[in-house]
Amino acid sequence: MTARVSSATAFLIAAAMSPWCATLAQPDLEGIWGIDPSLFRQYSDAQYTDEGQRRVDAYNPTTDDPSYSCIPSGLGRAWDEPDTNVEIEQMEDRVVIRYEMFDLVRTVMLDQRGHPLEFESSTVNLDGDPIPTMGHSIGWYEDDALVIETVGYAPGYITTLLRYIPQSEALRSIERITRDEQDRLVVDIRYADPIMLTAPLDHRNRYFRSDFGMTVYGCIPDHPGEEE
Amino acid sequence: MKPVRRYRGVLFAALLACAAAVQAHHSVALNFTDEEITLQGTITSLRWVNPHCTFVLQVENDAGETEEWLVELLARIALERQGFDFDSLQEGMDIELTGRLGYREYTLRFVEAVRPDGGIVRERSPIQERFRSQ
Repeated sequence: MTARVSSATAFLIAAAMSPWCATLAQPDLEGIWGIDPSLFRQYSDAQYTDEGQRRVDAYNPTTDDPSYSCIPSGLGRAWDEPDTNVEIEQMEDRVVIRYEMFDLVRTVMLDQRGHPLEFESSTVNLDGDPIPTMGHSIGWYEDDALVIETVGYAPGYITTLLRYIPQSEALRSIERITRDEQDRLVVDIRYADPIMLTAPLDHRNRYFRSDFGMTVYGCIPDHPGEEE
Repeated sequence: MKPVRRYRGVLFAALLACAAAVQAHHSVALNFTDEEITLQGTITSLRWVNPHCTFVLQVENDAGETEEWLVELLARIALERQGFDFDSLQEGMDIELTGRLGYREYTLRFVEAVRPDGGIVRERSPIQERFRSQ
């Protein structure tokens, strides 16, 4: 009996310690990163539901892209931007990802057991306004990767560069962010959205250490559909 | 100044590999055709801003009417990082502009401009520089 109690206790202690142990092994992802043109915007073939296909067919790239209003259409769009930096800062209880495009600041809490019942976007712009198309994110470390789970997305588009892949409120994404042996950042994302996609969508980008520092982007909205 | 429209309609296959590189903020490939035209006109309403630098090119058409073409360039941040000379294009300057026709009427994606002194102005994104260096 005594031995069984000890085993159970040991198991509970180990379970309680596991996130801490994982944190100890966390990869160093900090720095300012610029996209690697030899490996970016690699998406698997999107397989759409009827609703997803309807959204694709209805999309007008000259008027419907939220970028015109300085809003990222979705998570993929933020990672795909070619000419701006991404900065990662790792803290004990959170990871802050700054996307230079549109001056976005994404705070990924590491000490959460789940998402809140009422989602609040983890990403804000320079004015502190939440960006609902970027969803609510929580993160943790697994081996050599920072893993980020994001749900609570507002409808939008995972990306609008080269392709426009619609997203619904049912979208869930898992990012795995690692650093390879050549000191490059590798971001793998899997998207699952039962309303828009019949199968998960995979997305990969790679980044170099940037030659440039972070700046204030200072986006000024375009409104292409409006007459001047 | 009379417009000179040389509809080149040329597809630069080699550039297709770099097509992704010249996109920012919204997709150039989705907003502009591959058909290039050349116009002569005068620069007005020049804006060096993010997410897109723009100017209006005032062009006199064959009927003697003034057309206004909205010309889009890269983001200011991208131009800065390539060392673009922001004095190379100025309001009131007469230029010969080559651009890709937009799907919206009277829109063009900047390709190059010939200044009155014969100087040629082009843009290039930092990521294109990386393409070339690899």
